[in-house]
Amino acid sequence: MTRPRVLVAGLVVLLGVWCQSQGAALAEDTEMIVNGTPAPEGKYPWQVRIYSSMEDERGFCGGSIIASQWVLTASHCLAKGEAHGGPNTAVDPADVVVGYGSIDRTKTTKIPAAKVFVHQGYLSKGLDGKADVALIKLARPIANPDTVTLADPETDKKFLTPGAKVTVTGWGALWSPFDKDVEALMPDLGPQQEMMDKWQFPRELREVEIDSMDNDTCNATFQSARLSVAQSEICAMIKGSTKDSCQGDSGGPLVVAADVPRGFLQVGVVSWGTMCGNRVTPSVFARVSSFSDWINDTMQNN
Amino acid sequence: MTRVYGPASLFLLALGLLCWLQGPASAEDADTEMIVGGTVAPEGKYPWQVRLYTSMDDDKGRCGGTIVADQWVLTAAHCAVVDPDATADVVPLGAIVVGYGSTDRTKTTKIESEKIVVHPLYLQQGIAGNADLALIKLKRPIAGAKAVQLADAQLNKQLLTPGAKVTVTGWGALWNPEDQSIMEMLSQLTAGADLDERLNYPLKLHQVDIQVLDNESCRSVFQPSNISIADSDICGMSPASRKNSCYGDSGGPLVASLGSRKFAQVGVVSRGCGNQQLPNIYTRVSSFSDWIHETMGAN
Repeated sequence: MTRPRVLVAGLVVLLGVWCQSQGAALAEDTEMIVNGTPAPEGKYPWQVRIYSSMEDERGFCGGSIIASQWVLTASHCLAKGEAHGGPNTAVDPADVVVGYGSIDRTKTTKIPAAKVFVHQGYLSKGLDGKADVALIKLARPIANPDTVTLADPETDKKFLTPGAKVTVTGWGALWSPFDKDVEALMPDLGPQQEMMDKWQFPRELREVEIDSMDNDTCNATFQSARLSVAQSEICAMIKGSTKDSCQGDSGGPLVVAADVPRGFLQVGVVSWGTMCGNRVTPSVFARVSSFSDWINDTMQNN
Repeated sequence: MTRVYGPASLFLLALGLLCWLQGPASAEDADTEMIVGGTVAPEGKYPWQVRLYTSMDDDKGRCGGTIVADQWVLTAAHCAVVDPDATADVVPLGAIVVGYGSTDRTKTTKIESEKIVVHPLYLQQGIAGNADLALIKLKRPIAGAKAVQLADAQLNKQLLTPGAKVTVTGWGALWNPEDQSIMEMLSQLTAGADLDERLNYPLKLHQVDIQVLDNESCRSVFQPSNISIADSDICGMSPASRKNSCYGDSGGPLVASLGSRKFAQVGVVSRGCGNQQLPNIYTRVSSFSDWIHETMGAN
């Protein structure tokens, strides 16, 4: 696992800010779930893993099925270049494979990508473009897809009230991969490689429930770090808790319980944070409802 | 493993600073220090390192120490007393078993103590006496003993410049038991294994490099919590890391390199456990050179 290019920026490096994607493939890091619990099979059937090939069993990012032939994920999962700045370029769709239908990342059903669509805001400015959403068109449709309902501005406002309980799911790391003190413990716990793998690449999907936070509070939290969030982003954390998303969870869904089919509304896409399990600053998600038009237009025109 | 409670440790507990005794052992069930963020020490690199046990059958031990002469071991006072929380009229332990000669705490050669001499300031005031030091006379000399060189005032001054790299060794805990943040994660990795045992009682001696913090800076760190740092204390920590000694390392050595694989012992593990915000406190060996030599000479 290599460090994301995101970490190249000065201040950002000091804080350990990263995009939350994992993996060899794109040489970008991703998020995983810290202090969550295993997700029951079938509870989040729209959850997908994004792999770099049909043989890859690890994957590097999460995503969600939003239509029979479409997956929503994060731009930083599917772009190469400067994560803070630009220009960035979309990866070759030949290096993107989507797996669905199992909480075990080694047992998903895989379909290659036909096309990838990275948001223009990310292509030109990276994370600073505040548009960390991307779409994957699959090579063929999924039969009887378990799609998730995407929030629009109205349902976002209705269900994502400040402090609302929100849930993140993913196969990301169980604790920050950059914690050297934890790394030093591994040889004392068992075979080192096995321990490292379990830590950074859990096999089964995990879920964690956290609290959404209003953007003003979130910006105040980030002020000393000279980071900020836009209206097109959502912040969430439980203050004083280590419950969080982490490297490898990127691109995956942030959902809120709502009166919609299957009971959950996707309001966010896992994007970035400062050191997983950080008790002080929240994790940040791209706000799905800010990109309703872009998502609908992209799907219609392709 | 239980916590040390008592009047003396009230402030210490608030900060997560405890005396570093480990162990089921004695009636007192005190905690000890271990190495956080370190690595397994190579066999033979620190031949003066000993483990202090409660009996010939105990293979866990509760403190560390060092061979300073063929019949003498140096350790922390709080490792050699009946109640590490006592603040007056402190009673030394009647006996301690010393194990040497292996980095595996279950494979050391054991010798019983003949006599335990705790520093008089500790006997009077406990940890507040800022003299957390004791000497153990063994029942017989260790044949071919590899004693550590103790730093005198001159060597201390030369070696312990602010920021100087020093090394701590011990069989103490690998993670601060008060830092529960990663326990859930670790239990995922080690399902079925006795995580508590692995974290608190490593089989092999561990080593970790830390940096010396000047006493003035250290005083200001501890001032709000009313913990006094004396000139006879050394503070050490690792910037932005939890690397340090911890429960079960108490009494063990803080050494500085003299080059070509030689070391001088500059400190004795006393208080603190792998914490990103707080230094650990070590007893400065050179402040007690006279007491050490007089005690060995008179006994």
